[in-house]
Amino acid sequence: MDNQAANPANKHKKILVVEDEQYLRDLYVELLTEEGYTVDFAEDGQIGYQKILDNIYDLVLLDLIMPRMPGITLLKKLEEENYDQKQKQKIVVLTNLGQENVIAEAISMGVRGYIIKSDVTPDKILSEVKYYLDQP
Amino acid sequence: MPNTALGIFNKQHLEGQGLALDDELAKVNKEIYERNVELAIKNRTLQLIRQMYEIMNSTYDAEETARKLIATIVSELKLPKGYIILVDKKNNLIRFVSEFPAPAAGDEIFAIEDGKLIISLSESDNFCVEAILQNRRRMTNSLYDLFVPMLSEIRAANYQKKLGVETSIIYPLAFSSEVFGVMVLALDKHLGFLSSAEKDALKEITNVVAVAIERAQIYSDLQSANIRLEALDQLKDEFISIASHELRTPMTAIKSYVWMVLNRHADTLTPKTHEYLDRVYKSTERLINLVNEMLNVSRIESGRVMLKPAEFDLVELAQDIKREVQAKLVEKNQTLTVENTQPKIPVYADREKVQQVFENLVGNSIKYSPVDGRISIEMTIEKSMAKATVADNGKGISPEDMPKLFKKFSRLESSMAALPEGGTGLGLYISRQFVELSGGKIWAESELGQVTRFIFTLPLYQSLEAKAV
Repeated sequence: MDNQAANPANKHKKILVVEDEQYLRDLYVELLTEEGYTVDFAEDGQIGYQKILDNIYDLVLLDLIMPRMPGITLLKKLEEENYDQKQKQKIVVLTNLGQENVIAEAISMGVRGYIIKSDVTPDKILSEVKYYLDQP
Repeated sequence: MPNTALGIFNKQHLEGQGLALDDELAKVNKEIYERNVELAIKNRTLQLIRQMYEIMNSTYDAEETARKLIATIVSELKLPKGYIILVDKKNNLIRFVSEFPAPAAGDEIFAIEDGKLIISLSESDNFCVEAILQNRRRMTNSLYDLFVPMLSEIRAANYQKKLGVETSIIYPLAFSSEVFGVMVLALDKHLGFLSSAEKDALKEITNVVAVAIERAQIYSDLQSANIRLEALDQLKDEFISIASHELRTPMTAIKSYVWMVLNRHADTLTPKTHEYLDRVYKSTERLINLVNEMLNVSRIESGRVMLKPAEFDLVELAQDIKREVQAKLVEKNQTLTVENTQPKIPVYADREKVQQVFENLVGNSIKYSPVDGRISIEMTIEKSMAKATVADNGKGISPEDMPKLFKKFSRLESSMAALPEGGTGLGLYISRQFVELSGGKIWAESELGQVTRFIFTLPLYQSLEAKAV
């Protein structure tokens, strides 16, 4: 099957993947890089938190259940820091089914949306990413 | 003259009628008098028992019940002293849980409030222990017998003298032949002064005490069992939640990487390896489904499913489902038609849950109907409910299998053998729960070898509005 050609315009889109599970992190980074995006990653919430504060991303894929700093804690800390509401809209939560209450909590804290990892195929993740990046 | 040693009955009142009559009249009169006394005792006993029932209904705490009962009994019967003593089976001892009246400041005796008055059940010289072990009423003229070996004979004797106790009766408190304590009633008279009506009254009172305390104990046992069960249930929920997350993480990785091979590197595969990996992919999907459904069941059963009902168009949802399953339909060259009697059918339900119901029913149709099979979703409004029918021309369901359909893990014999990819046996169970929680109904109709129809109803959005008006 044909590898999708990388879109050169994607180069300007900066994406951060915050995911503690190495295999999934590697996969998302590889997929998004192949698509031509500029991709950064963090292995846990603590590192992710620092990177979110230090950089400006067009999209952040944030896992919820992570060691050191779970996604919800990260979002709470951003709230405490008075992090820009508009920037917070760039965060999309990565999660597994069965965490509806946590998802609801994340949404109430101003994140953009959520992707259920176990439900979607890699190309669905790409199309979701594209959807979120295309929305103003 | 009958003796009325207890204050149960007002002696003076009847004595005031003392009549000097001839023998025969005196005899009749004496009989009437005795009957009157008996009735008065019964009347007082009934009143006391009614008071005891009020206490019983006011608290579910065994010790509080015991405290209130002994206070009421002792003061109503004008006794010098009363105790309730309960068995502590776990520690093999008996415990004085209530007394009335409480000892005065100078009394050289343990106050029950100190919690110090406990006696081992192996103390065979103690009359309370004896009454419990032998399940029979005991009597003593010495308070010391109640306290062996916690109190010296002299102290017990002093206390008894101060209280003016003549005799103590120790009644076992039993419920269905198991003795769980004793009630001690101390009298300022010898037992011989009690009439048989009074003895009966005391027996009756003891029975009520036993029932009241036993009831309170059962209640508090149930309550603590309930608390324990609730904690266990929560633990189970947490365990399933964590376990399912831990299981899904590696399964998601397997699924995603196999997808990458199948979709991005298919050129490196031989037809054989492609087929094998395809099976790996499908099995992983099935595992993920299973984990999700187990989580769903666990939540349904602990009543933790949260429905978020809102208005949505059932027709639009059905069309979404059609798009979603398109790839699977193509695989088996099946067709799915969506038909609706109204352009829009607005329902009031949790869209995600209804989507799961549709996915499950359509998924079953795809699975169980043959290559080239025809599947349909028909939607209409009937009896102010939305009604959806998912039908296929598969091999149908036998009448014996019908009642098993919506039960947990009850996959039908016929379906098990027929399908390599299998199922979880939970899909229809979950569907039924979701539909019923939404205020609808779900059922199946089938003609063996011809057609299977699964039908569910949901409340219409309008009918809800109409109700509110």
